Amino acid sequence: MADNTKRAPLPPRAEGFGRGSPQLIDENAILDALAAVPGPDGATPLPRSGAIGGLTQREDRIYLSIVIEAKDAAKSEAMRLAAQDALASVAGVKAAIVTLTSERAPGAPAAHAHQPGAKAPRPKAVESVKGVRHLVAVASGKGGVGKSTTAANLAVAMALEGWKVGLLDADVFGPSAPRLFGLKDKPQVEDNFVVPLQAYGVKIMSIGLMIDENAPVVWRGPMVMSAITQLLREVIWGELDALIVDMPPGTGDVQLTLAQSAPLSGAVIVSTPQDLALIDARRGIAMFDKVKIPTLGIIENMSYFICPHCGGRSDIFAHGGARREAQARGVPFLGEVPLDIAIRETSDAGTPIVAAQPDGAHAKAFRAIARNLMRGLDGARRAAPQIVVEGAA
Amino acid sequence: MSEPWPVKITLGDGGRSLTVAFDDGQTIALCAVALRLATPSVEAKRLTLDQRKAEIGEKPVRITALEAVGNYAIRPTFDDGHSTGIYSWSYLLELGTRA
Repeated sequence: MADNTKRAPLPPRAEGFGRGSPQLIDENAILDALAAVPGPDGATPLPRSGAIGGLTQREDRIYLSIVIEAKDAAKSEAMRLAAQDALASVAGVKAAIVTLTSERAPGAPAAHAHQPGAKAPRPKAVESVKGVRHLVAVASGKGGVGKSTTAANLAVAMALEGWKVGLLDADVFGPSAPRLFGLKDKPQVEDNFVVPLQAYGVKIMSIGLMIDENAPVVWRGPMVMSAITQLLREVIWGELDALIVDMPPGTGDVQLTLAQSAPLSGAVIVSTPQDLALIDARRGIAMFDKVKIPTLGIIENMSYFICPHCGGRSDIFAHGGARREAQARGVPFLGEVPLDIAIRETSDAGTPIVAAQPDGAHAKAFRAIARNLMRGLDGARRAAPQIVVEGAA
Repeated sequence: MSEPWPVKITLGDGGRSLTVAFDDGQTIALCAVALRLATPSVEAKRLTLDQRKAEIGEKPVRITALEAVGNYAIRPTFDDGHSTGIYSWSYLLELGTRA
């Protein structure tokens, strides 16, 4: 068997061998080791299966990518581990990293090849998150306006109104869902999928559940993009009426990634009534307009303050600015939430006020906003255009 | 959002032509070469039209895959490997009416 595979041709992408590496690992030894691993079909040895997408050696490390069909990802994990073990056992190899990729169908032409009879063009629709009916972003241009608190309370309120709701904390740099919902457990992993935690009838997933509360997330854009995609796709959200996405402030990587990788039903903008916040809120709305995500409405947070001592009312951040903005933009005004110490205290204590005092005035305000939103959601998004490829069956 | 909204995007002629029907009744047809030359990709921003033409060469251009991007755009993959151009509905409309 070893003899058959000794001269197995490597695909043209294999590189790195003999590039002046001081301790060259024997290529034949590598192929021999891999020959003991059955390829994707379960029988043909890996080196002869055509599934090796690339083999790279850097000093004493070996990187191997195996090309598989996307649908086989789960069952190919055993093959991946077997290949990794096989490589690790080769003399001189310190570390072996084997990855599964399905970017290109096995044997498919390299992107630039002008092949006669190349595969028929294929359309690809944006995949919605499986089982999720509405994907709703809660956003603001500006930070500190109470977006996460609002998102958390909205999610609980929608659950109280009878919807199956999930909350995705997309603020990877400042995740707040764990604190807002008092979550300390690490989520379980099943078959490479993460099981979201559950609190007050809401399924919750956040980067904050994976890392220490005091640990910073110091990432560049591509890391953020992959984290967002994983939070969307590699979490068992199950059947949901709505998945609320708590966005970070701004109009950057996270927002764009989400807008491109999933068909959002719409966005809810949270703003305080003050002009400074409204300027950024306007930017947020303009961004969602650009990527054709309807703005489902604006919520005015910290709308007014009732003094607990004298009962007098102060409009600390002014009042009514968000309502006027909504009118000017022609989008629905969903409601206002006062600045109140009880909302802050319950948030810090890990029980959103809608859950802590479900019959209180604040919960009623959030539930009214939730009902407005739920009404707006059914029938918000324009149908995606049909993509047809002629001659492809 | 009162701009025309696409209802049907058809890739025809073996990937050489793209037809977009909008909800206001107008239909635009674009050929793959024109789309490829007009790519909005940042990679091509610095290139002049002649440089872009040189890049794709004399070969006929075909679109080998078409992917929807969020609610607002499509991302075609051309057979010369270029796939980083994201064509929004309004850009497609602009290209179609300019031609």
